[in-house]
Amino acid sequence: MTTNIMVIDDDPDLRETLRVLLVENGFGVSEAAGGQEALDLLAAGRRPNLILLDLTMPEMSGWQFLLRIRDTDLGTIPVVIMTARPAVGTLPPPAKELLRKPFDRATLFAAIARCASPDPSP
Amino acid sequence: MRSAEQRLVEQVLQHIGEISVGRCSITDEMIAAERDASSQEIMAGLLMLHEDLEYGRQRQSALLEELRRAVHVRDEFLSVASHELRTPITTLVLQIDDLPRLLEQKGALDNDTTRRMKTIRRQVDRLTALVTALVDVSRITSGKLSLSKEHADLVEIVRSVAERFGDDAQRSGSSLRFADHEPIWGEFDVSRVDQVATNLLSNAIRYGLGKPIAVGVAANGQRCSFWVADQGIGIPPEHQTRIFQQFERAAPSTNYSGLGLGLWISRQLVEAMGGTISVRSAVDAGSVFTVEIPHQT
Repeated sequence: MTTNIMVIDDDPDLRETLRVLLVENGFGVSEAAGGQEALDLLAAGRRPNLILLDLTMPEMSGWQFLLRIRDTDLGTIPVVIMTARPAVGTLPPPAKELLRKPFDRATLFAAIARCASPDPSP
Repeated sequence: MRSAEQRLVEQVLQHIGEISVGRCSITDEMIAAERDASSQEIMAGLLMLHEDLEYGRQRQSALLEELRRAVHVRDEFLSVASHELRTPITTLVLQIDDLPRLLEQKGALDNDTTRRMKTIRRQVDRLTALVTALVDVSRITSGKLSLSKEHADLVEIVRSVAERFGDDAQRSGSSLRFADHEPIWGEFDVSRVDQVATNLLSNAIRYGLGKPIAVGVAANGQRCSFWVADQGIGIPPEHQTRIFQQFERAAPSTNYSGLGLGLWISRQLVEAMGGTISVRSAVDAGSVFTVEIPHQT
């Protein structure tokens, strides 16, 4: 059973790095360059077990994305926030974890392990 | 009956009193009404003095306002710049973490490659530390520094920092000794204590002239401490307070690199923990930095 992770970040290099790293470690990965693209993917039925979300993105920020999914059935997907900003107060649901950039691979996998449960549906 | 001189003296004293607090009731009419030319001159002089002082005051407050704005702009820029740097460093850190394994898989991890990878890793770590310092500065100056304490063993925190510096010490030629101690359990912000110990140890290596370095931990009642001792260049007495201030450094920047922020950040962190940081040092004999923090079990 594969754990699927959706990576949402506007930085293509970081997205690519995360994809390679996650795929090599047995995760399924989908990518979106922004909030709207992510919403489109999710609407098309791609439901990940976990979302890795950047906060500062043009057009639709990570915050706006969280607000959009919060009260829908997508709001149960655990979200790990990746941010370079200093002061992020209380995490809004469904955000579960906060990764402060720069983070290393051990920190990344630890956060994922705490949040992601493999898809229980058959 | 008061003489005209007495009256003038009293009047002058009263006006000087007013002028000293930024007011002046002298008018052109009053000056014109004075009986003799020298009295007129004195009154006119006082009025001019008042106007000069007022101009100076206004200029001063305008400069002060300008200075405040400049400091604000600097802090803003520092905040934005340091955060912008973090995203590319994240990519670097993740890529570099994974490369050795990838190269080994492809059978390309020979000694030369391993050595180069280690150099890259060290430089990325250094870049990370520099950016982290900038981020800390902007967090501290904007009052956003917060601690997250957990139950931990101070000895273990400091020991792990000392172990991490094993390679660096060796490269600089210094031996590094950790004076072992029984566990000191308490409520500590592990990453911040680690950061302070890391700063002190990297200074000890940088200024240690390749001579032995010792690190230790002590408990005394409600407080506990750790110390880092080197036998390097030392700090002249007149610089021993200054080095804990922002952008200040005792060693010449022509010989030693650095931002001049490490000890300032350390002091801010230690004070946020309710502790103190101090130094005993003598030129050419070395320095002992001691951090004392509350136990809070």
